[in-house]
Amino acid sequence: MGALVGAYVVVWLAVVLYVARLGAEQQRLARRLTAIELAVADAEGRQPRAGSIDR
Amino acid sequence: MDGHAKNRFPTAALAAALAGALVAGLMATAILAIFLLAPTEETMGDVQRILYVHVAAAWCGLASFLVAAAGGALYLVRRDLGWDHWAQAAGELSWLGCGLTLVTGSLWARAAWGVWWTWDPRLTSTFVLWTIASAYLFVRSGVEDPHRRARAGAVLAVLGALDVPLVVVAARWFRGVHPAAPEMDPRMRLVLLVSVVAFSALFATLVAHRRGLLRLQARLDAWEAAADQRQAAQGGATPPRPDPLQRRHHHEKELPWVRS
Repeated sequence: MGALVGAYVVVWLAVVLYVARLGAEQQRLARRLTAIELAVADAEGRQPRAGSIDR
Repeated sequence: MDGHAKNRFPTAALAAALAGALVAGLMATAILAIFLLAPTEETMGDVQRILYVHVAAAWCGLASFLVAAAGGALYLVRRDLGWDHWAQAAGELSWLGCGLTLVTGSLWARAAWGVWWTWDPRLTSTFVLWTIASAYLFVRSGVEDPHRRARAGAVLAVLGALDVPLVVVAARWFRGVHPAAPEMDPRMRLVLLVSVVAFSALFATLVAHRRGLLRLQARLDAWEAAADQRQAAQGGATPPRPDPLQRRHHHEKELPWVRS
Protein backbone atom coordinates (compact mmCIF):
# COMPACT_ATOMS: atom_id res chain seq x y z
CA MET A 1 0.00 0.00 0.00
CA GLY A 2 2.93 2.30 0.74
CA ALA A 3 4.23 1.85 -2.81
CA LEU A 4 0.82 2.72 -4.24
CA VAL A 5 0.52 5.89 -2.15
CA GLY A 6 4.13 6.80 -2.92
CA ALA A 7 3.62 6.43 -6.67
CA TYR A 8 0.55 8.65 -6.71
CA VAL A 9 2.14 11.26 -4.44
CA VAL A 10 5.23 11.42 -6.67
CA VAL A 11 3.18 11.75 -9.85
CA TRP A 12 0.91 14.47 -8.53
CA LEU A 13 3.71 16.34 -6.81
CA ALA A 14 5.67 16.41 -10.07
CA VAL A 15 2.66 17.63 -12.03
CA VAL A 16 1.82 20.30 -9.47
CA LEU A 17 5.44 21.51 -9.36
CA TYR A 18 5.60 21.72 -13.15
CA VAL A 19 2.31 23.64 -13.31
CA ALA A 20 3.58 25.97 -10.57
CA ARG A 21 6.74 26.56 -12.59
CA LEU A 22 4.66 27.42 -15.65
CA GLY A 23 2.59 29.80 -13.54
CA ALA A 24 5.69 31.56 -12.23
CA GLU A 25 7.08 31.84 -15.75
CA GLN A 26 3.79 33.27 -16.98
CA GLN A 27 3.78 35.89 -14.23
CA ARG A 28 7.37 36.84 -15.02
CA LEU A 29 6.61 37.28 -18.72
CA ALA A 30 3.47 39.27 -17.96
CA ARG A 31 5.50 41.66 -15.78
CA ARG A 32 8.16 41.95 -18.46
CA LEU A 33 5.50 42.65 -21.09
CA THR A 34 3.93 45.34 -18.92
CA ALA A 35 7.34 46.95 -18.34
CA ILE A 36 8.02 47.10 -22.08
CA GLU A 37 4.58 48.48 -22.85
CA LEU A 38 4.91 51.19 -20.21
CA ALA A 39 8.43 52.06 -21.35
CA VAL A 40 7.35 52.35 -25.00
CA ALA A 41 4.33 54.45 -24.07
CA ASP A 42 6.51 56.66 -21.89
CA ALA A 43 9.03 57.14 -24.72
CA GLU A 44 6.24 58.07 -27.13
CA GLY A 45 4.56 60.33 -24.61
CA ARG A 46 1.21 58.57 -24.56
CA GLN A 47 -0.86 56.39 -22.31
CA PRO A 48 -0.46 52.65 -22.90
CA ARG A 49 -3.42 51.16 -24.76
CA ALA A 50 -5.16 48.25 -23.16
CA GLY A 51 -4.50 45.13 -25.18
CA SER A 52 -2.02 46.87 -27.46
CA ILE A 53 0.39 43.97 -27.29
CA ASP A 54 -1.16 40.65 -27.96
CA ARG A 55 0.18 37.17 -27.67
CA MET B 1 -1.30 36.31 -13.25
CA ASP B 2 -2.26 39.88 -12.34
CA GLY B 3 -5.50 41.53 -13.41
CA HIS B 4 -3.82 43.66 -16.07
CA ALA B 5 -2.46 40.67 -17.88
CA LYS B 6 -5.78 38.86 -17.56
CA ASN B 7 -7.56 41.71 -19.35
CA ARG B 8 -4.92 41.69 -22.04
CA PHE B 9 -5.45 38.08 -23.03
CA PRO B 10 -9.17 37.38 -22.55
CA THR B 11 -9.42 34.83 -25.36
CA ALA B 12 -6.26 32.99 -24.40
CA ALA B 13 -7.25 33.03 -20.72
CA LEU B 14 -10.71 31.65 -21.55
CA ALA B 15 -9.25 28.89 -23.70
CA ALA B 16 -6.74 28.03 -20.98
CA ALA B 17 -9.51 27.95 -18.37
CA LEU B 18 -11.67 25.66 -20.51
CA ALA B 19 -8.72 23.35 -21.24
CA GLY B 20 -7.84 23.31 -17.55
CA ALA B 21 -11.41 22.43 -16.58
CA LEU B 22 -11.53 19.65 -19.16
CA VAL B 23 -8.23 18.20 -18.00
CA ALA B 24 -9.26 18.44 -14.34
CA GLY B 25 -12.50 16.60 -15.14
CA LEU B 26 -10.69 13.88 -17.05
CA MET B 27 -8.09 13.43 -14.32
CA ALA B 28 -10.77 13.27 -11.61
CA THR B 29 -12.61 10.65 -13.68
CA ALA B 30 -9.41 8.65 -14.10
CA ILE B 31 -8.62 8.73 -10.38
CA LEU B 32 -12.13 7.64 -9.46
CA ALA B 33 -12.02 4.87 -12.06
CA ILE B 34 -8.63 3.65 -10.84
CA PHE B 35 -9.73 3.33 -7.23
CA LEU B 36 -13.44 2.54 -7.59
CA LEU B 37 -14.00 0.83 -10.95
CA ALA B 38 -10.82 -1.20 -11.50
CA PRO B 39 -10.93 -4.57 -9.75
CA THR B 40 -8.21 -5.47 -7.27
CA GLU B 41 -5.62 -7.75 -8.84
CA GLU B 42 -5.49 -11.17 -7.17
CA THR B 43 -1.73 -11.66 -6.83
CA MET B 44 -0.40 -8.16 -6.20
CA GLY B 45 -3.42 -6.55 -4.58
CA ASP B 46 -3.81 -2.76 -4.54
CA VAL B 47 -0.19 -2.12 -5.55
CA GLN B 48 -1.15 -3.18 -9.07
CA ARG B 49 -3.03 0.14 -9.37
CA ILE B 50 0.35 1.79 -9.96
CA LEU B 51 0.05 0.35 -13.46
CA TYR B 52 -2.60 2.91 -14.44
CA VAL B 53 -0.31 5.90 -13.88
CA HIS B 54 2.87 4.07 -14.88
CA VAL B 55 1.64 3.13 -18.35
CA ALA B 56 -0.01 6.52 -18.88
CA ALA B 57 3.17 8.38 -17.88
CA ALA B 58 5.25 6.13 -20.13
CA TRP B 59 2.95 6.73 -23.09
CA CYS B 60 3.10 10.50 -22.52
CA GLY B 61 6.88 10.44 -22.15
CA LEU B 62 7.37 8.54 -25.41
CA ALA B 63 4.80 10.56 -27.34
CA SER B 64 6.24 13.84 -26.06
CA PHE B 65 9.71 12.83 -27.19
CA LEU B 66 8.39 12.03 -30.66
CA VAL B 67 6.74 15.46 -30.74
CA ALA B 68 10.04 17.03 -29.70
CA ALA B 69 11.85 15.15 -32.47
CA ALA B 70 9.19 16.11 -35.03
CA GLY B 71 9.40 19.76 -33.96
CA GLY B 72 13.18 19.60 -34.21
CA ALA B 73 13.06 18.00 -37.66
CA LEU B 74 10.61 20.63 -38.89
CA TYR B 75 12.88 23.34 -37.53
CA LEU B 76 15.85 21.86 -39.42
CA VAL B 77 13.82 21.85 -42.63
CA ARG B 78 12.14 25.26 -42.33
CA ARG B 79 14.43 27.17 -39.92
CA ASP B 80 11.35 28.50 -38.16
CA LEU B 81 11.82 28.97 -34.42
CA GLY B 82 8.10 28.36 -33.93
CA TRP B 83 8.75 24.65 -34.43
CA ASP B 84 11.58 24.82 -31.94
CA HIS B 85 9.17 26.15 -29.33
CA TRP B 86 7.01 23.07 -29.80
CA ALA B 87 10.11 20.90 -29.59
CA GLN B 88 11.36 22.45 -26.37
CA ALA B 89 7.95 22.31 -24.69
CA ALA B 90 7.52 18.65 -25.65
CA GLY B 91 11.11 17.87 -24.63
CA GLU B 92 10.46 19.15 -21.10
CA LEU B 93 7.30 17.09 -20.80
CA SER B 94 9.09 14.04 -22.18
CA TRP B 95 11.70 14.38 -19.45
CA LEU B 96 8.89 14.59 -16.89
CA GLY B 97 6.98 11.63 -18.35
CA CYS B 98 10.03 9.37 -18.61
CA GLY B 99 11.12 10.35 -15.09
CA LEU B 100 7.71 9.50 -13.66
CA THR B 101 7.76 6.21 -15.58
CA LEU B 102 11.07 5.28 -13.95
CA VAL B 103 9.96 6.28 -10.45
CA THR B 104 6.57 4.55 -10.57
CA GLY B 105 8.16 1.54 -12.26
CA SER B 106 10.74 1.32 -9.53
CA LEU B 107 8.04 1.35 -6.85
CA TRP B 108 6.23 -1.38 -8.79
CA ALA B 109 9.43 -3.42 -9.17
CA ARG B 110 10.09 -3.30 -5.45
CA ALA B 111 6.61 -4.66 -4.73
CA ALA B 112 6.48 -7.18 -7.58
CA TRP B 113 10.07 -8.37 -8.01
CA GLY B 114 11.63 -7.41 -4.67
CA VAL B 115 14.18 -5.03 -6.22
CA TRP B 116 14.12 -1.29 -6.90
CA TRP B 117 15.90 -1.65 -10.22
CA THR B 118 17.11 -4.31 -12.63
CA TRP B 119 18.83 -3.92 -16.00
CA ASP B 120 15.87 -5.29 -17.91
CA PRO B 121 15.85 -4.24 -21.63
CA ARG B 122 12.74 -2.09 -21.32
CA LEU B 123 13.87 -0.46 -18.08
CA THR B 124 17.30 0.19 -19.53
CA SER B 125 16.01 1.64 -22.81
CA THR B 126 13.59 3.87 -20.88
CA PHE B 127 16.43 5.04 -18.65
CA VAL B 128 18.48 5.80 -21.77
CA LEU B 129 15.60 7.86 -23.17
CA TRP B 130 15.29 9.81 -19.92
CA THR B 131 19.04 10.45 -20.04
CA ILE B 132 18.75 11.70 -23.63
CA ALA B 133 15.87 13.98 -22.59
CA SER B 134 18.03 15.29 -19.73
CA ALA B 135 20.91 15.92 -22.14
CA TYR B 136 18.49 17.65 -24.52
CA LEU B 137 17.43 20.12 -21.84
CA PHE B 138 20.99 20.53 -20.55
CA VAL B 139 22.41 21.29 -24.01
CA ARG B 140 19.64 23.78 -24.73
CA SER B 141 20.20 25.59 -21.47
CA GLY B 142 23.86 26.19 -22.36
CA VAL B 143 23.39 27.86 -25.76
CA GLU B 144 22.38 31.53 -25.91
CA ASP B 145 21.77 32.03 -29.65
CA PRO B 146 18.21 30.83 -30.46
CA HIS B 147 19.05 29.26 -33.83
CA ARG B 148 22.17 27.49 -32.58
CA ARG B 149 20.16 26.27 -29.60
CA ALA B 150 17.37 25.04 -31.85
CA ARG B 151 19.81 23.29 -34.19
CA ALA B 152 21.67 21.50 -31.40
CA GLY B 153 18.42 20.48 -29.74
CA ALA B 154 16.90 19.28 -33.00
CA VAL B 155 19.85 17.04 -33.85
CA LEU B 156 19.82 15.55 -30.36
CA ALA B 157 16.05 15.01 -30.39
CA VAL B 158 16.01 13.39 -33.83
CA LEU B 159 18.84 11.02 -32.92
CA GLY B 160 17.35 10.34 -29.50
CA ALA B 161 14.00 9.46 -31.04
CA LEU B 162 15.62 6.31 -32.42
CA ASP B 163 15.41 4.97 -28.86
CA VAL B 164 11.60 5.31 -28.75
CA PRO B 165 10.78 2.25 -30.91
CA LEU B 166 13.42 0.34 -28.97
CA VAL B 167 11.54 1.08 -25.72
CA VAL B 168 8.31 -0.14 -27.30
CA VAL B 169 9.66 -3.44 -28.63
CA ALA B 170 12.23 -4.12 -25.89
CA ALA B 171 9.88 -6.25 -23.79
CA ARG B 172 8.83 -8.35 -26.80
CA TRP B 173 12.09 -8.78 -28.64
CA PHE B 174 14.46 -9.30 -25.72
CA ARG B 175 14.15 -11.57 -22.74
CA GLY B 176 13.48 -9.65 -19.55
CA VAL B 177 11.27 -9.43 -16.50
CA HIS B 178 9.10 -6.55 -17.68
CA PRO B 179 5.68 -7.80 -18.89
CA ALA B 180 5.07 -7.15 -22.60
CA ALA B 181 1.28 -7.23 -23.00
CA PRO B 182 -0.28 -9.03 -20.04
CA GLU B 183 -3.81 -10.38 -20.09
CA MET B 184 -6.14 -7.98 -18.34
CA ASP B 185 -9.69 -7.90 -17.05
CA PRO B 186 -11.89 -5.83 -19.43
CA ARG B 187 -12.56 -3.33 -16.62
CA MET B 188 -8.84 -2.96 -16.02
CA ARG B 189 -8.35 -2.36 -19.73
CA LEU B 190 -11.08 0.30 -19.73
CA VAL B 191 -9.63 2.08 -16.69
CA LEU B 192 -6.18 2.00 -18.28
CA LEU B 193 -7.62 3.58 -21.41
CA VAL B 194 -9.33 6.31 -19.38
CA SER B 195 -6.09 7.01 -17.53
CA VAL B 196 -4.06 7.19 -20.74
CA VAL B 197 -6.60 9.59 -22.29
CA ALA B 198 -6.60 11.80 -19.16
CA PHE B 199 -2.81 11.94 -18.96
CA SER B 200 -2.59 12.61 -22.70
CA ALA B 201 -4.94 15.57 -22.30
CA LEU B 202 -2.91 16.84 -19.35
CA PHE B 203 0.40 16.59 -21.19
CA ALA B 204 -1.02 18.09 -24.39
CA THR B 205 -2.39 21.06 -22.44
CA LEU B 206 0.92 21.57 -20.65
CA VAL B 207 2.88 21.36 -23.91
CA ALA B 208 0.58 23.89 -25.57
CA HIS B 209 0.78 26.26 -22.60
CA ARG B 210 4.56 25.99 -22.36
CA ARG B 211 4.88 26.57 -26.09
CA GLY B 212 2.78 29.76 -25.73
CA LEU B 213 5.10 31.03 -23.02
CA LEU B 214 8.19 30.27 -25.12
CA ARG B 215 6.70 32.14 -28.07
CA LEU B 216 5.90 35.14 -25.89
CA GLN B 217 9.40 35.11 -24.46
CA ALA B 218 10.89 35.03 -27.97
CA ARG B 219 8.78 38.04 -28.97
CA LEU B 220 9.88 40.00 -25.93
CA ASP B 221 13.52 39.18 -26.70
CA ALA B 222 13.03 40.33 -30.30
CA TRP B 223 11.42 43.63 -29.24
CA GLU B 224 14.25 44.36 -26.86
CA ALA B 225 16.87 43.52 -29.49
CA ALA B 226 15.09 45.86 -31.93
CA ALA B 227 15.11 48.60 -29.29
CA ASP B 228 18.84 48.06 -28.84
CA GLN B 229 19.42 48.44 -32.58
CA ARG B 230 17.27 51.58 -32.73
CA GLN B 231 19.23 53.09 -29.91
CA ALA B 232 22.53 52.28 -31.63
CA ALA B 233 21.30 53.72 -34.96
CA GLN B 234 20.38 56.99 -33.25
CA GLY B 235 23.97 57.36 -32.14
CA GLY B 236 23.38 56.65 -28.51
CA ALA B 237 25.52 54.21 -26.67
CA THR B 238 23.90 50.79 -26.59
CA PRO B 239 23.31 49.90 -23.00
CA PRO B 240 25.01 46.74 -21.87
CA ARG B 241 22.97 43.62 -22.52
CA PRO B 242 21.89 42.07 -19.28
CA ASP B 243 23.58 38.98 -18.03
CA PRO B 244 21.40 36.07 -19.22
CA LEU B 245 21.50 34.59 -15.76
CA GLN B 246 20.19 37.84 -14.29
CA ARG B 247 17.82 38.57 -17.15
CA ARG B 248 14.59 37.97 -15.34
CA HIS B 249 15.43 40.38 -12.56
CA HIS B 250 16.80 43.02 -14.92
CA HIS B 251 13.67 43.33 -17.01
CA GLU B 252 11.36 43.61 -14.09
CA LYS B 253 12.97 46.87 -13.01
CA GLU B 254 13.30 49.18 -16.01
CA LEU B 255 14.24 49.34 -19.64
CA PRO B 256 16.51 52.38 -20.11
CA TRP B 257 17.26 51.73 -23.77
CA VAL B 258 13.57 51.75 -24.62
CA ARG B 259 12.78 54.68 -22.36
CA SER B 260 15.33 56.98 -24.04
